[in-house]
Amino acid sequence: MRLRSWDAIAGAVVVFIILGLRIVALMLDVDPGAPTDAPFLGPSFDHWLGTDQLGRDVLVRMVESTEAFTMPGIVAVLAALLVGVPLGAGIGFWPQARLAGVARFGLTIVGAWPRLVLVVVVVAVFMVSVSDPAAWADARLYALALLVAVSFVPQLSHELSEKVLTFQREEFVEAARAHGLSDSRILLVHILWANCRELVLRQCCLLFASFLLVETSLSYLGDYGVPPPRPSWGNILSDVRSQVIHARSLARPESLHPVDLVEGLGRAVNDGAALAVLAPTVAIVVSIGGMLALARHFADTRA
Amino acid sequence: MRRSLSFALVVLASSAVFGAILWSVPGAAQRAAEHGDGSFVAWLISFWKGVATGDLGRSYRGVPVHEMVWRGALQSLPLISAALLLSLSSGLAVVLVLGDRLGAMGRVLRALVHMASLCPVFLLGYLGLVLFAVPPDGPWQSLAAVVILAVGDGMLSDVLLGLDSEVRRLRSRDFVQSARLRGTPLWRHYGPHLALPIAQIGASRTAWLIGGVLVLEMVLGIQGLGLIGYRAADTADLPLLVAITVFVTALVAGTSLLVDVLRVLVDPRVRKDRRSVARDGR
Repeated sequence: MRLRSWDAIAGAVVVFIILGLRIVALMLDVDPGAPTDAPFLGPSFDHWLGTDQLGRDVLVRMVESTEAFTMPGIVAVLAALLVGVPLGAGIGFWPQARLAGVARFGLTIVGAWPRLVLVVVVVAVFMVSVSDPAAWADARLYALALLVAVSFVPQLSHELSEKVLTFQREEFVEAARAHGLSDSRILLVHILWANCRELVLRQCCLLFASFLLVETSLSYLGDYGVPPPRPSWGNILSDVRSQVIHARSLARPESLHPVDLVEGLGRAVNDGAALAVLAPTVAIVVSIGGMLALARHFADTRA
Repeated sequence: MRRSLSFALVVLASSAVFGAILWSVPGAAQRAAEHGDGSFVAWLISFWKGVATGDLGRSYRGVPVHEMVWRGALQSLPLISAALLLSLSSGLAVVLVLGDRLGAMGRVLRALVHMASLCPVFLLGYLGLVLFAVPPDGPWQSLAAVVILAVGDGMLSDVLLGLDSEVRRLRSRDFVQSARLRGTPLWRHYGPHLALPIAQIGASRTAWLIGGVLVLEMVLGIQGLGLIGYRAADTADLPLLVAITVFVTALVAGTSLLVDVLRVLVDPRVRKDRRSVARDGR
């Protein structure tokens, strides 16, 4: 599992950047919701990425946004592992057991639910059920994480059970049985740890990327993600939506004259709005891309 | 037959689970009782009677539920199918026509496609609004939505990777090599062998596409199932929300049922296995 490919290097860099930003955010003693300067300032030494429509530092908000997905994302991964690995391993190792049939049917049902539909329905129920939704923002985020984990369990269990089932017929498993090793030792040490850990790691990367996608999407939409003024890459984008809409004139055919285009771009960057769009856009794409690259690396290692 | 039964059970169980979740909303039981359904079981039975007769009752806003679901489906289903078709056909075109012919340029092109495909659907919709002024309705909006759904949330990237490995596997098979040597048109061999993988890739992406449609309809303001469902979730409109969730679950389960049917039609080995199982059973 050494870092041998570009995928692994790119993924590892992204993971270190995310963790580094999270540590910086923990050390920062700034309120990301408080205005620090005039609105829509361009990039400067004081505000590297400028300020948003309320005069808040975009860089500080970008860094603080890692709170919205780092811990909940890790919780989602752990929850999926806790449920999905025993289920998948059990179904694969004892495929004829009656319980395996029940579990397989349960996973088919959960697998048929579109992830975002499940998340929106349950979070909506949660929001209606609590008297003060703002006070439950953290709990909502972790509920979101658990729901994404639940929706990911069928995929993880299915892949793992297929893999375990193929190893059941391998000679080394029969040899281990002949040596008198217990089923649990064969399953845990010889199959899961020795031969399936790359598959599990790959699924962890996919799940983290999936959680990031769901969290930013819902935070952008406003009601079920991270509530403002707490920052998230999704709600930073939605906050400046009305301010940057004028930038669309840049792409109209009548304004495609090079001089107009350069002037328009310069104006958009200077007034800070363009950076408030560009920074979260790049952050989301790079983070998801990095996690997927790492997942691809584990898939290649497995192959 | 067994697969159809499993499909029906999945949809039934989903309606019970989603119904139970929504029944737990404070006040939901009282509101349902006002509409004549005293208990959860009574409500569930009346829901399935409604599905059988085509009358799902009225939403809490007084509009017939089946009308709202139908109206939303008429907006969302064409978007989902067009996006699926566009993504699969463009992926197939890139893999079969371009292949490895363009060398470094082809690799750069593929990298760009993968990068665009990494963008979440909401981000592409947002950038479409900001940069290209996607209109609030009309054919340009639909076209933009189809392109965004066909590319975003990793759709095109997944399709490209899946098709690429299938085509490479097919090209290395002996019968394709000999067909190439004899000068027989290759599409005759590709067609039946790629039909099933294409259907499987499409089916595996359907659930993602439905999630993407839900988000994109809210970003672009399209009055489809997503927007209707989101508003129903906001007001905890039990009848409408259950109808929409069961409809999309049936859509996902139905797609996977269709792939199984196609597998039996396309692959003679599966047909043979099924016949021998049936014979053994007798």
